[in-house]
Amino acid sequence: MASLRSLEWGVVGVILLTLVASSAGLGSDGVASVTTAGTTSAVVGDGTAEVSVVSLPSERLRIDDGRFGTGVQYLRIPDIRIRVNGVDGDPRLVYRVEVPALDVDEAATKSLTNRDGQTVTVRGVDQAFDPDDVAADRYDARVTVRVQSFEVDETVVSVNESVAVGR
Amino acid sequence: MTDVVAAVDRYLAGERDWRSFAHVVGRVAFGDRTGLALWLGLVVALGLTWRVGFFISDSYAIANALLNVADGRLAITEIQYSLTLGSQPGLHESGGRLYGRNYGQVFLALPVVWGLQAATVLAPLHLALAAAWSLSLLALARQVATLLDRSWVRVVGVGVAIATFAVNALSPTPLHPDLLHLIALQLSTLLAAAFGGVLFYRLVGVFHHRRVAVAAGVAVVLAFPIGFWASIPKRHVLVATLLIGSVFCFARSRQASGRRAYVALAGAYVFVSLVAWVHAFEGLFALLALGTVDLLTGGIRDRKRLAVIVCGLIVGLAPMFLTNLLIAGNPLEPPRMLPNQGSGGVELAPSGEVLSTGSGGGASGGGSGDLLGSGGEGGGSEAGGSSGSDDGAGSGGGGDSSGGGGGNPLSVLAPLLAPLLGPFQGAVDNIGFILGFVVLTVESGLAVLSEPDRLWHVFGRSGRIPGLRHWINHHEMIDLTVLESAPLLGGLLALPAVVYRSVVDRSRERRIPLPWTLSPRRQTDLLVVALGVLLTVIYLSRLPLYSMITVRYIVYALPFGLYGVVRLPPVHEAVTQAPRRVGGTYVVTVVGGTAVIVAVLAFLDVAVGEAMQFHALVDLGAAGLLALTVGGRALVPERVQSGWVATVLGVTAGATTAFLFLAGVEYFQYGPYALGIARELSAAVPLF
Repeated sequence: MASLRSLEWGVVGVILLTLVASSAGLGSDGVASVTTAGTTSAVVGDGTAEVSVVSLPSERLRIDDGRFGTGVQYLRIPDIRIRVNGVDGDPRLVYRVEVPALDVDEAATKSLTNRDGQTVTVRGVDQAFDPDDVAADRYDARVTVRVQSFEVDETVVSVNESVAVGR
Repeated sequence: MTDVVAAVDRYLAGERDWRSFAHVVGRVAFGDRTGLALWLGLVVALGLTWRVGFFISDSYAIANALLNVADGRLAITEIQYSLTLGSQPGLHESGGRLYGRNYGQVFLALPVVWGLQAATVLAPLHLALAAAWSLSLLALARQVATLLDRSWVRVVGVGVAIATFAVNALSPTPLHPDLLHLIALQLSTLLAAAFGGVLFYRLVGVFHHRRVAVAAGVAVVLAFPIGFWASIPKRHVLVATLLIGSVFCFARSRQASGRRAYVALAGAYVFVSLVAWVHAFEGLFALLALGTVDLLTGGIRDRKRLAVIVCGLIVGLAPMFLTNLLIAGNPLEPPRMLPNQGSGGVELAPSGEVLSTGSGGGASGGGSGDLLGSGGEGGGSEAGGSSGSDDGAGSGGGGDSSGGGGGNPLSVLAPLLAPLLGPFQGAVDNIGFILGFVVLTVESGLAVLSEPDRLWHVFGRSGRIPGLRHWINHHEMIDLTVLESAPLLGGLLALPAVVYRSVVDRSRERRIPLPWTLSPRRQTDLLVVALGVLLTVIYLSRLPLYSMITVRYIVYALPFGLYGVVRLPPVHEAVTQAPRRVGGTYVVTVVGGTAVIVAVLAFLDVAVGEAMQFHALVDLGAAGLLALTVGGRALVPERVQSGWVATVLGVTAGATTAFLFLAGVEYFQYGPYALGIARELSAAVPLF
């Protein structure tokens, strides 16, 4: 029992010592912005990257009914997968879907810092609508993928799509 | 409490035994070692889903109020947190200066600010939080090991504490020092939520087996909407904790005798009065319920008891009166009655336009809109069809003509009381106004009881509710009903069966007892019913409403529903007889159920609203199953075994915990995690 107590006090000591040791770096521990729901965005700085789209979601971009009793319709914006090479600095990827007739302009971002040689997935966030607002059978949409930094703003992909409405 | 007084006496007499003093204080706060272990366990569990950020916009004003109070002033002269450059919801104006509201919540968070400021002298915020979390885990393991007489639990605790600290230190969530006051506010409600679990454990433990009490204490936080709001710095959890504390003290006052009973009775009034410091009108209604039940059950039968109650009221109400006096120059004019600066008047508060008594009311309420609705945002109930809600949803602040327009009959009380309270003229002016507001609020709430569709969308099924302004949440159906977010309350649906069985089992000679002849247990039941019903009714005219998530306006009353479930014989007997089955099923459901839900939702690639509605349907199913099982056990006990009830209780509670966990780590991403380990957990869940 005495050894257990010593062990516990040892852990307390290690934790407190870590705190004391960390005080040297006080005030330089990065920045976290105050965010609201769903508005977190990737950090961007100077830099560039070469990216290629592994899978583009054009075939799966669609509008259909919400499930589980939501009673709304959703523009389904699938994830895209991107191959990243030659990352220099802190660029970010921007995945944007626009459907002007429905007032949709959604952009998801992902930091490419330290992603050299990786395949990254950027998540598309589905958009919900009041069913009364979705009157047509098809809508025009534009999908763009860009690499952004303070130095560059390069459009990698820009395609026009026709989005079918499932009833 | 009397033990604390004795300990202080001993200290003042020179017997400075800090160890025994801490022991006594700990016993008063937590009851026993189980209570302390429960609190530590709940704090550790709630920390796992804690995000640092603003979930609802009117928390900005509360956080700014805390920052300014910590700097030594009530008025908000410095704005650290802001959604926009202009005004923000929840600000009120008095004498040309801006103030926040919920000052009770602000002041109760002050010690946490001091604690964090002291800790950050030593280390950055994220490391201080990580250290506190791991040390709490270590302490929890030690208490559990002692309770179970299993020393290996301490070894596990040591290992997990050091490992999680390492993860948190090596995978840090950087938290800017400017977030300290927001973090303190969030931590204060988290600690209060855990303490609410302890008080609920102690309340149930007054009349039931310890096993039932522990299960109830865990469930009210981790398998109930309290868990959702624990780290979100709204008032709801704090008010719920204070109300549970009041009922616990009431129960103890009826059970104990002599000095202990008096101290407990005073405690009941202190707790309920402190609610008024957080939200004046919720406190007023709670005080009305407590006072009425206390009077009916013979609690105010002599001068000594009356003196005790008055002392409790003075101690509990003094902070609110003083705060109001300093802000508005009127002890009966809380910040919510002051003109709003910006939007945010949806919640329960009167406005001067509707119930003006000629002087006080008219002067005080200029910023709000209609009595039952809101100021800037329209507010009020949106889906209902009552007279009050139409104005609120349509024009926003138009005012409900049924409210009285200055014709309030209770306003005659003001001049009658004026000679007695001359020095407090402003307060006297408000008395009739406030009393009129009380009557009209209850009336409008009761009127909703005749609207089954509206009640269905508040208590039964949510989905897409016609007439609600869903666009505010981008048409995501994230607002659940009471039963969808607290399926354990499904047990209450079996109440008719349980009552029927109880009536059949009793002899015919038995009469319905008068309130003052009730047993202490029944008296407490009566108070619970009064608080639960009244505190729900007063918000009915505003519901359903957007951004309620778990019908948050009445979250503070829901623990009383859970108390009712626990009091059902099939439920507390099942927990007493089969605690391992309840616990085992709960753990299996939390782990296995979460995995299954994640797999299903990931496979279906759902949106947030769909995920929430999926949980709603699962929880409704669990609630229905619980109702059937409990009802079946009451009506045909020879066919429905108690173990079945235990199993369904575990499943229902587990399904709710799974929802709370996924909501915390996945569905609502409004800021970075307080702990790095929480981010690692979130990364392991492949949903959003």
